[in-house]
Amino acid sequence: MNPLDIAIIRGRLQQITDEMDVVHTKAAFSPVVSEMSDRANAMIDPRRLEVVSQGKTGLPVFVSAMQSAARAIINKLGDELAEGDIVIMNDPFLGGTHLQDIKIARPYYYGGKLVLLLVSTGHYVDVGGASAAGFDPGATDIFQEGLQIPPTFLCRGGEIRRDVLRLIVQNTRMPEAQEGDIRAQLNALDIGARRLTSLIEERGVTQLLEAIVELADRSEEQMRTYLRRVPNGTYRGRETIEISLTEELIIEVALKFKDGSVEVDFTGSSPHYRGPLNLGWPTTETAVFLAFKHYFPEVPINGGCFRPFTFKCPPGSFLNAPWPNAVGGFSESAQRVADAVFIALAKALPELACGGSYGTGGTLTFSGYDKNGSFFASVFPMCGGYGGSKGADGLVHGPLPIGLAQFPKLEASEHDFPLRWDALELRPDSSGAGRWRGGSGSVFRFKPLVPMTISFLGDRARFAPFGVVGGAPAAMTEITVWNKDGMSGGPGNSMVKGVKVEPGDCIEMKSAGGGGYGLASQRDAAAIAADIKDGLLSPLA
Amino acid sequence: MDPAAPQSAVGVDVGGTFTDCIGFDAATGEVHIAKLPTTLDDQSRAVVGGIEELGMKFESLDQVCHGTTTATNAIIERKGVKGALIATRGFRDIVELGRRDRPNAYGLAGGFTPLVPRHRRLEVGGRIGAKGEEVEPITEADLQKVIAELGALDVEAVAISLMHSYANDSHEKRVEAAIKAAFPKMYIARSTAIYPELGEFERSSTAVIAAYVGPIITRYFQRLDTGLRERGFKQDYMVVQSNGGAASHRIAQRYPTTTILSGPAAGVGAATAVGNAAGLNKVVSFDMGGTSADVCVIVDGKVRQSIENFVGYRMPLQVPMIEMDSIGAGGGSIASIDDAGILRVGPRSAGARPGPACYGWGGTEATVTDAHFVLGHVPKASLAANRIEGVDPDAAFRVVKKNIADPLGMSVEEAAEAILEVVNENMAGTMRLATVERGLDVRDFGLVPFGGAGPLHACALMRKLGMKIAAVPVYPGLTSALGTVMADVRHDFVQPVRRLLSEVTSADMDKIIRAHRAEGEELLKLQGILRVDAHDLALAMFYAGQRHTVSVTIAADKLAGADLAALFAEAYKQKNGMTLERPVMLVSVQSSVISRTKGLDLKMCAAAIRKTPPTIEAHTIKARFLGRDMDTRVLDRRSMKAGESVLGPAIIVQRDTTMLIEPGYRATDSDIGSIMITKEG
Repeated sequence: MNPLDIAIIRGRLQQITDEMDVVHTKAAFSPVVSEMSDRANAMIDPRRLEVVSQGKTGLPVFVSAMQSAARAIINKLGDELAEGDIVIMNDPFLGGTHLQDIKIARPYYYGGKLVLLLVSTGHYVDVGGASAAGFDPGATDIFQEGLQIPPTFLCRGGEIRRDVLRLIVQNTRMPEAQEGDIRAQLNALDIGARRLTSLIEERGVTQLLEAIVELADRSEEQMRTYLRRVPNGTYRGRETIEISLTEELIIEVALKFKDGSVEVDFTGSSPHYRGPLNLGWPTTETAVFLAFKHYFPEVPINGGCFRPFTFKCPPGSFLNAPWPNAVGGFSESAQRVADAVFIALAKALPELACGGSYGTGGTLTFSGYDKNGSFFASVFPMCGGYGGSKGADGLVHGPLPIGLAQFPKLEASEHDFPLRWDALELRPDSSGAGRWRGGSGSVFRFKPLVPMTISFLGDRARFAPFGVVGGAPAAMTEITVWNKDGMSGGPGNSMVKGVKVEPGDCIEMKSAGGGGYGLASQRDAAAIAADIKDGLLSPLA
Repeated sequence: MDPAAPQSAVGVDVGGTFTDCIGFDAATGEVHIAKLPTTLDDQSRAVVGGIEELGMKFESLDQVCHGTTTATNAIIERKGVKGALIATRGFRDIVELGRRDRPNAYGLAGGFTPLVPRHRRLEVGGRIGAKGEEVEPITEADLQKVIAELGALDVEAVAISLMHSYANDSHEKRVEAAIKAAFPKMYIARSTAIYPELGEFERSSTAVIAAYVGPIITRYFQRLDTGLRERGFKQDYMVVQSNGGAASHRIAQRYPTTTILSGPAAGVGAATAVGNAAGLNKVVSFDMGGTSADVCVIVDGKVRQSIENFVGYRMPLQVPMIEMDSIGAGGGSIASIDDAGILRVGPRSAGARPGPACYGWGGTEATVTDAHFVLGHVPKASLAANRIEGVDPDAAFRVVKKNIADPLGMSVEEAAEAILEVVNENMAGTMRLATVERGLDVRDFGLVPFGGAGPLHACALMRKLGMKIAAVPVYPGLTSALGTVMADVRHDFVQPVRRLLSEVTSADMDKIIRAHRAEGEELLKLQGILRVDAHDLALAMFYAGQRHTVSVTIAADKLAGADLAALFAEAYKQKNGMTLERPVMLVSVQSSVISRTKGLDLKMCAAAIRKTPPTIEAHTIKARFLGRDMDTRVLDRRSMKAGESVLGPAIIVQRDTTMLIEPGYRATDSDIGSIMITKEG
């Protein structure tokens, strides 16, 4: 293909998905989408079932999840799809992540021919289930986690199916916001379709289809170029997720590099269990890809890049859990899969390595009735330090590496909810030591102004973020809830289930720091002195 | 003399590389221009030097207007003053923690160094609640403690930012008073004095930036004042603010953060005036320089203002600023082949040094400018006019061949055209996105291209975006300087409201608006201006529960009887394509109190250009457009008569830029000084 045409079409496809992101965010209701960017928009090649382009501001954990969702839609409904249809789904075993992430897909036709599948995914605060706003740490199967939507027609022949819409909306505690968010996604799909039409009118459908094939082939070759930098061999990583004070899930990963391809083998990982930290297989895949993309940020989000990967996972593993297992805490496990891959990659490419991050989604859920008797429910995400890397101490207060979501404005949350913040500050002595230390963890503390129910589903209270290249691990998560019955949580315990709090009680979160890079004995003396002066390092520590 | 209606004035815009000056004298009809290298250590030297080069008498000048990058540079180069921060107990780290983001979506290495290190971030007791209620009083002991701690730090400036101070600033004011009493010379930046809006991190960051650059700005403004007065200038010079309006330097000193983005804002102001004069009510301004291009959407002479601005990673700055989209695409943008084997242009740039390969300053990479040279778009006559010497067009040919053409298996000419196509696509994409974000269609807009490289790309952008008309300003390379003398004197105010629209009475609104008006008149009076020409409102609203506001803009005197809910629904629908059945919340009331400048008339510029004789004789060269070598007319801008037009392909040369007219487009010299480009047929 002409080098200019391919450059232009690549740019335009990227612009189209970027534009879908913008429209989605601007029109969305739930702050999770509009403020925390917990969404993604993509276009998929319906012939090869590969992602062609994805909006740059999409959440990393959706890196290959959009492709999985599209595969499911084409596989389940392919023969029935027609112009004017729109499909909705949230089945995590088909499309990855959890029930809150609702995918809406629009097959795009030109001249009566299916050209591309446009897909938009967004996080919905509530999709029903036992626990408001999801993330129920007590869930033992997916029925408790909310409404399951297999690939279902939301529109046929260009008309929205009011019955389907009502069915979905009636199964949430926040029907108005839900409907607003669905419409925001429909808007995003609409702008994508309009832009594709102008692109095709300018370039012709044949050239577009040729470009799609060529872009995938080139992306594959690009990925192989990066993978060839790693000497052939097997590199292993092991990570642990806490599921109770005494039990854990183990991730064992072996990356077998060979001449520009890699086999990802999860043999030895734990079986699935009766709790919310299982993963549907598409989630495990997407976690692996995003770990590689953190190492090689230049990798485009294009299905061609996924071709050099093969996977091996024992049946019945929690990384490949079958329906109807609970998956509501997927972000913990997906992050830990990425961490296991990071540990293996640090051995393969130490120059590019980073210490482990605080690494837990650590979603704190709070709900109750305000003084007017209206129900409220929302979440505060965890925050914490990133690992040190060659030449730089770690970042403080980063989003989860598999995500991008920001922390809400404290002042806004005091307007929106009956609570008051006491503090949000750096946590001294929490970073992993190293020649370049990790970033500090954070501490936040708030008080309820009305009775509330607090749940926390997190991790890293018993197994610390790792150091690399000789760096030390960081301090661990500590969540503590004080109420009239005393204290819940505390050191070593990363789960709090439905604790009732009242005015006068207090919720405190201490997040983990990031792991160090390199030997602490090689750290610059001036850097140590500065840390002591800034109160981040106790002279004794 | 009315400072907003000068008879003779000079506009000076200081950029990273050049200081541009333009001066006019209404009595004689003369317009002078000058371009000097920027004096990086002290910008005021080139400012004064530039005015001297214009040959105008300082003592008879009515006005000097200035766009500056002093504040921006101090932040980028981390050369601000040693300062401290005072925050509510428990929240001193907010300014470092930010909103939980990372510099890039992918890649986890690297960190962030805040402008004020942790040991200089102090805490004070007391707490205000979300509704402005005092939850915990601030005590004398609290104040004494923080004053003692501040004294021990030996700092020049201090930022104060307390929780919910936008709803109740009494605690912040008490801290400020205590500091003033204890340290009369301390530079104080209080968050709500700068921008009283919700958002503890954004407000703290803004105050910290203000404290960091405030003393530097103050000293710079005083130095320039002295420099001008020593040479006989008798007035207070004006400074362009980020909102595009001008203010006396004495006022601007009080709000140093408003001078960040000063220069680009002035350019947009000029573009607005050029669009108005050309009768275009929807205009996209396009300012393309050496490393980046700025795009701004102007509707009915108004530019949207944004308060969500960043001066760097994790450094938001909350001041009204012209909403501008920037893209790493300029004359120096580097073309390369990426890891996928696909041609890419920018965002890397060869900058001013080494610059494009053809400039012979050691550049070894193919840039956008090199591509233009290969294609014959920059004739020798243009180089002479632009006083560029030692250019080696063969070097352009060599780098494009080696870096792009050979690896991609194309001819050098094909490769050069491909470079331009890709950079034009990137810029067109930015314009498309900029209009879509506002719910607008770019095809309805006219283009105002300027900056050194803008007029070279105007036709290509029109072609890509389906735009029908462009107005190239009279001095495209000096448009920001031109804008400084055209900027209206303007002051912005904001009052947070955060109440349901249905609960806000007209008396409530009246009270806010009258207070803003009085403040505005007071500031104008301090500058000797008694005339208020406009009081515009931007009412930021959303449906209760949302986060992103949509603003309704309306003149203050049209507010009585206006159906704000209906106006909001209309604005919301335009932006998002639908409306919702939900209560509307009024988030804040923003006011702009404006005194219009009656200064430079564009017609005067047009006449002045024609007064100077052309130095280039019209001739024909070969240049390449859309795959064909074509006979191309080369004209001197000064030889064009009012109403004269030329059909592309043509190249119009003037001192500060080169204008490329593609085949199928016509360039007409209008009587307002702009060259109008239209599509033929």
